[in-house]
Amino acid sequence: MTAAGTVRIHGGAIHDPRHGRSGQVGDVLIKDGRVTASLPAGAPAFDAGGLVVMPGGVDLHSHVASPAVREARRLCATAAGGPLLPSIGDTGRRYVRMGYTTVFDAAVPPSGARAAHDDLDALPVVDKGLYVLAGNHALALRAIGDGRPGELRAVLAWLVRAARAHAVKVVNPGGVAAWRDGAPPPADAPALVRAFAAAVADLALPHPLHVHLPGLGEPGNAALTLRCLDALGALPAHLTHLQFHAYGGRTLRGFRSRAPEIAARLNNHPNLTADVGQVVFGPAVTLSADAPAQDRLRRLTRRRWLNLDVESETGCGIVPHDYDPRGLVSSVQWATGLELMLLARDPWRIALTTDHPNGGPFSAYPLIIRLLMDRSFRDEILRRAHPGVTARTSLAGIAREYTIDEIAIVTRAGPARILGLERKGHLGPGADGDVALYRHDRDIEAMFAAPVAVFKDGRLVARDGEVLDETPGRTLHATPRPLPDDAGALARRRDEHAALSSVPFDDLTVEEGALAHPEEVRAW
Amino acid sequence: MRASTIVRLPFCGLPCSPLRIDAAGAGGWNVAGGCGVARAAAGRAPDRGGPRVGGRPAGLDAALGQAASILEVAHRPHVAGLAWSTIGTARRAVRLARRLGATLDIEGGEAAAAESEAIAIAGLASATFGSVQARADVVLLWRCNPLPEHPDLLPARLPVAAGGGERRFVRLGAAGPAEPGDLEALAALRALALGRAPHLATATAGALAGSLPLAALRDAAAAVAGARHAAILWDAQALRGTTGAAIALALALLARDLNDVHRAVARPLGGGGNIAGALAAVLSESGHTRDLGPRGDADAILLIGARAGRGAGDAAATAGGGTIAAATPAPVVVIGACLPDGLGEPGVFLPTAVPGLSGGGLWMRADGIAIPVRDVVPRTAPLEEEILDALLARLPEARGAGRARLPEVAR
Repeated sequence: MTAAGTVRIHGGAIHDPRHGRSGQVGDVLIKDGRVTASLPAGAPAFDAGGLVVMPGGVDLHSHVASPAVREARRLCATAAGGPLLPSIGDTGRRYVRMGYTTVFDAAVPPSGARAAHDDLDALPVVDKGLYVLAGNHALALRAIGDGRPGELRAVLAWLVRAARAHAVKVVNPGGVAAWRDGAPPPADAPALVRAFAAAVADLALPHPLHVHLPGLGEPGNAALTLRCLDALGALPAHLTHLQFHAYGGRTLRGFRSRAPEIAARLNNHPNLTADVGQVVFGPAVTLSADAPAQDRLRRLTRRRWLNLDVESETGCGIVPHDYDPRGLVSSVQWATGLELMLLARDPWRIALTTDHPNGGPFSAYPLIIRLLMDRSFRDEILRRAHPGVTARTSLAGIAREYTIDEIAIVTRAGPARILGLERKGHLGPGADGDVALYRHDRDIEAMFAAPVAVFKDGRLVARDGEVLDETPGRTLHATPRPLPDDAGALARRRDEHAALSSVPFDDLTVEEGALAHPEEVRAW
Repeated sequence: MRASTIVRLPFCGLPCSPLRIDAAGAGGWNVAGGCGVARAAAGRAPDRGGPRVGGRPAGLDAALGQAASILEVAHRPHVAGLAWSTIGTARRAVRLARRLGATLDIEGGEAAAAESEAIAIAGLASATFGSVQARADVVLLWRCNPLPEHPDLLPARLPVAAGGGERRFVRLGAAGPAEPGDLEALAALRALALGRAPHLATATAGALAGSLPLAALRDAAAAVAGARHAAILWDAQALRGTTGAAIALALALLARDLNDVHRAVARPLGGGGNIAGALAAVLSESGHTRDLGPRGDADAILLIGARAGRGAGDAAATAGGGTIAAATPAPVVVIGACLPDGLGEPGVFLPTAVPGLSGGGLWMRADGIAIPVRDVVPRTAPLEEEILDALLARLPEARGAGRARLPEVAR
């Protein structure tokens, strides 16, 4: 257990979308780290009069602790230590200074899980977890190729347990393995996406399959995205950094947005959730397990490239990048993300992310919130972008402005629900005492960049931008539903693994005791 | 201690062969198997005594107090070692250095510096050892040959999934450090492999390109150019200094450009110890490695798990892989299983368990994969981590690190 506090947060305007509270003045009571219905009269109090009170923010897709981040710090020596690649300590501090109290690293190879957990254990304040990469694992692909869905389930269950992961992530399934082996990409990528989604659904994990679709960043990839969504049918899936998969045109010269079609599909399929992967103008570091996509990017931009083929598990590519507002492609990408956010009718099913540091730093969330809430500001930035963007996206014609409640949904309530975290993203009894207090400000960006106070498990951890308490949070990891013949499957894995990997089987498995503050999450 | 234990220890930075540890008299042990680096590391006898201050036995508390005093009053403290310590120790060392305002260095860190320099300049198309095992049909060994010591590292035949054919090994240069003319040889190799040097392709027999015969370079170029999946390996320990960085860069560029033709990867072999783990800890804790390096004017030195300490604290002292040239002898604090080689009695010695043998934790192979190390022999001293935690507790808190007290109705 990490330390827990007791406090009455008194008299704030509470925005708790899950419980239908939209700015009504009231108290949030926290006892021993959890929100409660009552507190003794003498409990410590914090005066929140005039402040906006929200649950702590939840970032469901970021890259903060994986081996790729380590390598990115070596490749991008000048960016290392800055907002795109902060130290692990600064990562936690930067999140909590914005009012975020939970973050997930979205791409960790099985053999990288130990190192990632070691990093996450050093991450101050926030609760955290990771998704294990499985979409190009030789055993998973073999099970699909052999038409053995039960075996696929067993492989995925093993990987989740071994990596102490919260979810299964697939990245361009089959495509990375093919590129790694010098083979052509899979003929039927949508079928692979479906196979993984079905297997993960059977595991009853808190979060459905976390999908990085094939075709990342390519002109015209929206067609492939829609085919994958067709293949998914009614299966649950989370589509990550959807912005990077919503493009039309056949070449970069014809690059344009197809966000309206993608958003419409999302709107009409309640089985699907997404995060946006919003682009922020300025420098970025693209790092992805989608090694072939990164290979394309480095050829295109002629920038430095670091690639790491990881065992028979996955790949990794890193290329520094700049999103230039004067460039057509960057401008279309920027607008496409905003279109998706603004055209998604159900804010509960789309989360705000930058795919940090791919689209830009997570510390740009306040800027993006302003873009969503303030059309005039959005139009002003649009005018500074490449002139072609108005004809190639629909952004200029979108009048919608997010309400503060909708912001509370896309930054905390929604991501928590998408992740299956019952105690996150709300302020009802039983919730974790993670609370952010903001001061109303006409400058929305300033308001969300600097909460007046942040509570974590009922402890005051940040005040006016200063982090006061760096006690590390918990590592959330899921347990899959037991499968028939789990023991037999594990014995088979041991044999198969030995022929595939240079990492001893037992060394690959992260024992729960190896984590500093583990917390199991079950959805069955 | 069990009579005999078989373990795989990543002391060499590679997926090493199993090591056998047999109990010997008086709580000691003998080692067999593994590679030379692993055997030497595992066979190093720990200091059996307790803490010492100025060469005299002292209680742990008194020794910690004296160590804290030395470090706290120093104006230019320096922390070094870490290459044979766990990642957990390295993390604490970074925090301690930050708290002290000390500089930090990794012993033998130049071995990783050449690779880091190449990565920062040109990137690197690389792979983990398991990936190289699984798919490299041609392996170019640049001035190294890990195969006699690591027969399992790259089996002669590829796995069935990769076709099961014979793997081809091409050795270039005698194993060891860089030779004059290596850069010219590598430039020729790259030009030949990419078909950019027709004049070299027809040069006369016996001709040299830099340090190596042109004929050997032609063969090597043909092999890597004709590979389905080429791997280029070098010995990190052999590439040091500016020449080492330039050679690593040349090898990285060769691999990058071969990727225009087919898949190719390049990577250094482990230089021994946990340099990769220490580097990972620094990158994580600091976000970068810009401040890493030797210090010439240290007025107090903390050596953690260091192996080489010849003359540390003297006028010309070596620690952390660099030269410490202090104007006056600097007091030295040693935390480790034994005193570094060549070091006289330090101001304070705090003996510890042997990381990877009598102390568990996390180690990192040269390819970045973290491997747990576990207690395999009885522990008779505290862990390095425990000593560093105790030391951290005695030094002033860093700003903002303290626990907050909740104010009553504050704002």
